[in-house]
Amino acid sequence: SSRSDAKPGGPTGAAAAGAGAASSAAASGDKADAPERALRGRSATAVGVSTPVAAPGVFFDEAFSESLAATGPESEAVVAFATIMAVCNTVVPEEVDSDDPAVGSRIEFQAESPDEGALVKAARCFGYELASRNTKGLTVTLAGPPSSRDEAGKRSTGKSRAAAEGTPVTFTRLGTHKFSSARKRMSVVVLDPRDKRCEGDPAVAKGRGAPQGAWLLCKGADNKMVDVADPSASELARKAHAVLDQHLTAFSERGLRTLVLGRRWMPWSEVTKWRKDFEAAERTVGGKDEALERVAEKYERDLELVGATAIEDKLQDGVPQTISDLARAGIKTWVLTGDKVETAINIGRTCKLLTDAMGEPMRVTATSREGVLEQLRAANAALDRFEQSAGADRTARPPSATDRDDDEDDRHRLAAGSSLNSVSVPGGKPVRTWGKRTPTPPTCWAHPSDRPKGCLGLVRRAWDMCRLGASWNCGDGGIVVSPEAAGRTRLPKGLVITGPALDFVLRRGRDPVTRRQMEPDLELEHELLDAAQRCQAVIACRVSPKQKADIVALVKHSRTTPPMTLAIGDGANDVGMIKAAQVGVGISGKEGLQAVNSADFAIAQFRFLKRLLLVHGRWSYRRMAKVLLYSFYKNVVITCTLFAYNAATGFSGTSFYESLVYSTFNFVLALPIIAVGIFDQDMDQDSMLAHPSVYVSGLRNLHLNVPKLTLWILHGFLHGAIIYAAVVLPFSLNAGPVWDPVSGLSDGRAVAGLSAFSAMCWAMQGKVALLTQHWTWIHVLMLVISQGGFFLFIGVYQEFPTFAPEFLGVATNAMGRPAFWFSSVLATAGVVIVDVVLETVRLMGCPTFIDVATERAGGIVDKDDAQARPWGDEGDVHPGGSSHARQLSRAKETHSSARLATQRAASRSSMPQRRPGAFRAEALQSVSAGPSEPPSAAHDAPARPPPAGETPDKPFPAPSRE
Amino acid sequence: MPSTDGSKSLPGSLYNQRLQAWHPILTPTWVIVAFAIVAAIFIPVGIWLKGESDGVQEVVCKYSSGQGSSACLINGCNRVSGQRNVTNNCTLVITVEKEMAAPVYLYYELDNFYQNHRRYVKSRSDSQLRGEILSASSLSSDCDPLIYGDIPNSKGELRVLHPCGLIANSYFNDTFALRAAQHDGNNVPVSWSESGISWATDRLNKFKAVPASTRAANNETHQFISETYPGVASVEDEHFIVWMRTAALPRFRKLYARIDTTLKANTRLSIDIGENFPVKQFGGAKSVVISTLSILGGKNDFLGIAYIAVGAVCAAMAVAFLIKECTCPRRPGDLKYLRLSAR
Repeated sequence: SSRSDAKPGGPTGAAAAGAGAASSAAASGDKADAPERALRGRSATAVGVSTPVAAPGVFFDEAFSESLAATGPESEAVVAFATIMAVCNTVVPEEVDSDDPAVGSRIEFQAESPDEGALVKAARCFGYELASRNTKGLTVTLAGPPSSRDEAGKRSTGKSRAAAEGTPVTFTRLGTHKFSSARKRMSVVVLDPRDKRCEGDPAVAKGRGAPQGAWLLCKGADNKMVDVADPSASELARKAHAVLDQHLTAFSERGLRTLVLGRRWMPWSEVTKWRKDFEAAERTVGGKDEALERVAEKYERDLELVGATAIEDKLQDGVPQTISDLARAGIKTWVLTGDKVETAINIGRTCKLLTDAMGEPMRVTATSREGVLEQLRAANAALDRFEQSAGADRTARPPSATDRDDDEDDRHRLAAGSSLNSVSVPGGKPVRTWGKRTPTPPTCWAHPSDRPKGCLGLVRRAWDMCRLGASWNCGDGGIVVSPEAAGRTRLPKGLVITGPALDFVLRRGRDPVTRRQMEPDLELEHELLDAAQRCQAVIACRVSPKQKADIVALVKHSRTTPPMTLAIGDGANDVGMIKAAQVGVGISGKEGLQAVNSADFAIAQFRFLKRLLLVHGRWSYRRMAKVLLYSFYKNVVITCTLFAYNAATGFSGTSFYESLVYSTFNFVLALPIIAVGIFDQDMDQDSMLAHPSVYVSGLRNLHLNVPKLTLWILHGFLHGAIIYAAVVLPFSLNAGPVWDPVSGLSDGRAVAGLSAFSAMCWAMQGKVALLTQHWTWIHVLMLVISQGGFFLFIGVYQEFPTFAPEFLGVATNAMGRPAFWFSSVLATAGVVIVDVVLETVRLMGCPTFIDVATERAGGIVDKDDAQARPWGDEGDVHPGGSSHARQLSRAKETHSSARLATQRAASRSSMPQRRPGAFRAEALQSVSAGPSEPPSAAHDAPARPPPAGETPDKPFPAPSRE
Repeated sequence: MPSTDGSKSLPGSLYNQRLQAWHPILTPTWVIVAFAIVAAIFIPVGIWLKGESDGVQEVVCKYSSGQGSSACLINGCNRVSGQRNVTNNCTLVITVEKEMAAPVYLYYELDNFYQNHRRYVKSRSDSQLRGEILSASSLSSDCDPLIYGDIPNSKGELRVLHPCGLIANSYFNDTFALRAAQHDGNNVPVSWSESGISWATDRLNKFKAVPASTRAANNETHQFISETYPGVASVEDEHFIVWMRTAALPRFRKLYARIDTTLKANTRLSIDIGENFPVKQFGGAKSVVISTLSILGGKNDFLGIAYIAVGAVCAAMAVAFLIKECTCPRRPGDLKYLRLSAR
């Protein structure tokens, strides 16, 4: 028959155009019933594509349905389109009992990938319901649309059709070419029972009884499908392809993920040949996948393209907010995705990675080495120009060492929502030495406006001069640092690079084909890193799983200021990347568990990353720093006392402490610091979530670095000396070792040693107490157990005359001496007081940002001050301009309404969650520089509505500056 | 500044790190108040401790120097030959200038004697001190480097020391005895006791004399302490036990006797010394100390002074911080002290 002769020609062309125009089924994830569906559908009209009208749970497109019902070549292609959607997949339908008894059982789909599930669901909405699947074939229930061309004309209108009982149609599946990331498509070979030519016994190889042929139905990524499209297409087909292209572009510009559907008629002789190849490949031992891949490559060709689908990959809840908060925390986000450039850019805009302020992102899309190099150089040149213009702004200001207004100026900008993290060195003279001393203006001891007049003022002035002369940089708390020093600042620019272009850059490791060690292209690597590290947003599109891992590795090992990398993803294709990064985070979603299984941390949704990093990450770092420094410190202290005692023994090496008592040191003192290591919080979680800029602690490594360690070790020496003196001096001066107030007994080395040890334990507990910023009953309990345990231990240990004759009775005797206790108190007080004095002087004179933030979080804020000065990182306000003041005051008003909204959001949380796993893959790269611009978030409420359940207990000062 | 983010159930608030907690913040006010309180406690305590120490009456008489003072007349001391069984008998006359309430304690003090040297403190055998008879080979690790004595047996062989080791065989064997106590020229009765001067735990558990029969049986192989130090009957001798508890520092006092009589002012104590212990060889010195006690034991100025000093430092810091806060305060939580800018 003429109809069944689906050669390239008229029908095909119409099919491509028709399907493309008809709808290209924009299915929305697997939750087509979400109300957002409708919104999405409406906005689609603007692009000029037909409007799918959405009712809850239904995807319905009138034009498409009409084409499906109509006759003619166009309709034939539409039927093929729907058939491919329903048949060309690996989805397993499952009959489940519905909660609603009226409906009875319904079919749910178990899909390997959510995209497939979405397509099958969409097909169901057109009346092509995948009903069952077995090893031989699959059954599609047709809810009425023409099951074959011949009957089409006799069918009645849509309404009665919908009511009609479905007709089961069983396709015989001859084989499936599975999806692979190299081919980026999959196909099935089936016998369509509606097609007369497919009638026959598929077991018969040829001759009578055999079918005339079979259909190869294929779906895949658009570029890969176009590659294998029928080259001998007619004029009409080419025209249709152009329309298809147009639609694909339109779809991807809206951030939809597109697939192209195609098919090919295989005559039975070819099917027989294919079968032989396919079965041989299946039998291959070793390299089976490659063999099957080759078979698929061989037969997936000359496809007749019938249409394109577009799937909206819904972002999870809170993704834009999370990304902008991470940016405010100084974390840089890269998106690595397999999507097309346009799709990726659109998603980047949706999640506010790309902001309006960035303008059009710079693209690196060339397909030759020279092209890539040129584009990267151009990008760097543009960034240089941008930097210079920004730098010129800065140098235009008067040097601030003499200009007092400069600080005022800074604060203005701070209040305007600028970031706290990036700080310029005043005076227009960039200082390139991070960590070295930089001359800073005398604003640390007290602010100029607080400066007393007269005599005291003179003293202050002299002090300032000294400080300047000494070039004392007291602001190393991440506050006074030049952008140049802290690595290059990020500029509000976006960079987009494609997988093929990355192929030229990522040339480390072995070539996947030749297995030969590749020569790294240092020039390109350097150019890419230079550009990427300066851009606020980097998006890599069309990247393979291996490339994702390679990008992370490249960034991780970059030679200039290698950053800490975190990779987060939900799919199997993110596994390599997750393993390559220092921190791997898996999102447990619909895309399987591979990502979660290979990750260090598993979270349920992308937005929890914010809490993971900003709360638990920061706490963890702070705690780790405390535990490590304290562990070093306390061992310095004990060593110091041992050394001091050695001087009194003629340097013979006598141990001051009884050997077993000595070895309990780290056990006795373990519990309190463990409690700090598990429970300590320098700031409460709500404050950290509300003010991501405090994350600077970890980014700049403020709490665990060589200067800090040195300082702690010096403290260890000092404290060791204090403890030794407090115990040994009363033991040696005057009456010496006579501490017994009752019998005048003389005590010896054992009592002196135990006294010193005990005093040291007390002092170390005092030190832990000073370290503890968050006192819970656990901390108190640990201190009690620790110190009580020590006394219990020595009380028991002294009772073994044969085992420890040297220690016999020492504890009882020592504890019976009042001097034992007086010296312990003295040692503890000495240690604590020295620390408190030093810390208070530092806090009075040189507070760091973290100190001030801690004070604010702890609520120790001058009331007037709290009103007058916001944190500065409230963020969601427009920087600059006169509008910001208005917005700030508006922020105050909206604060309560934002809370209301939160509550409402919380009450809505029983609603089905939107599809998780929508947010694909990010490599988060932290560079030492903070964000140079606050994320533009014009469409957000000025005061960020806190996420559900995260409403801060104590609201931070609502900004109301004039 | 208690935070209010506690939650209801324990496991929940524990896992969510939302336990009821207190966030202390080191604000100047807090520090000033705390320092003032510490000063208010430490200074009185220091004064009290200093007073206690000052209340201790102590007379130190360095009889190895040969030169006395008005409070301490030395008669014929510091002539130790260093030979066994050759005792230099000499006399000290100590004048008590202020009344010393009973009990009064008599110590001997050694200087520059490193009883805390690593080899010295290890050189003892506790099993032997508990009365076991051990061979040289089993003592070699404990008592190294001093296992054999210097008095040969009947065959002319050197015998194993009992007790062996450096501590036991460097025993301070000067003896002190009260000859008379005179007040205004009249003898006054004074109770002098040399028992209860060692730790009860040591006496009861660590030292056991070898029975005479066992001693006789092992006389050919072991040189017992009564031979080494004729004045010491056995290891249960309390002076010996006191000696065996090694001192912490090279200058130390050890208790010798207790006088249970109040010594009125101007009481003259004549003390006979049997001098055997040489100190010249190691550049040391030896003294006799009679002392009363206080809550801190013997005279102990350091603790009182240290407490006063710590209190004073706290007070000074509190004042200094107060001046800073009054003149140019940094308001907590104020961002203006930070140099912040954005570009």
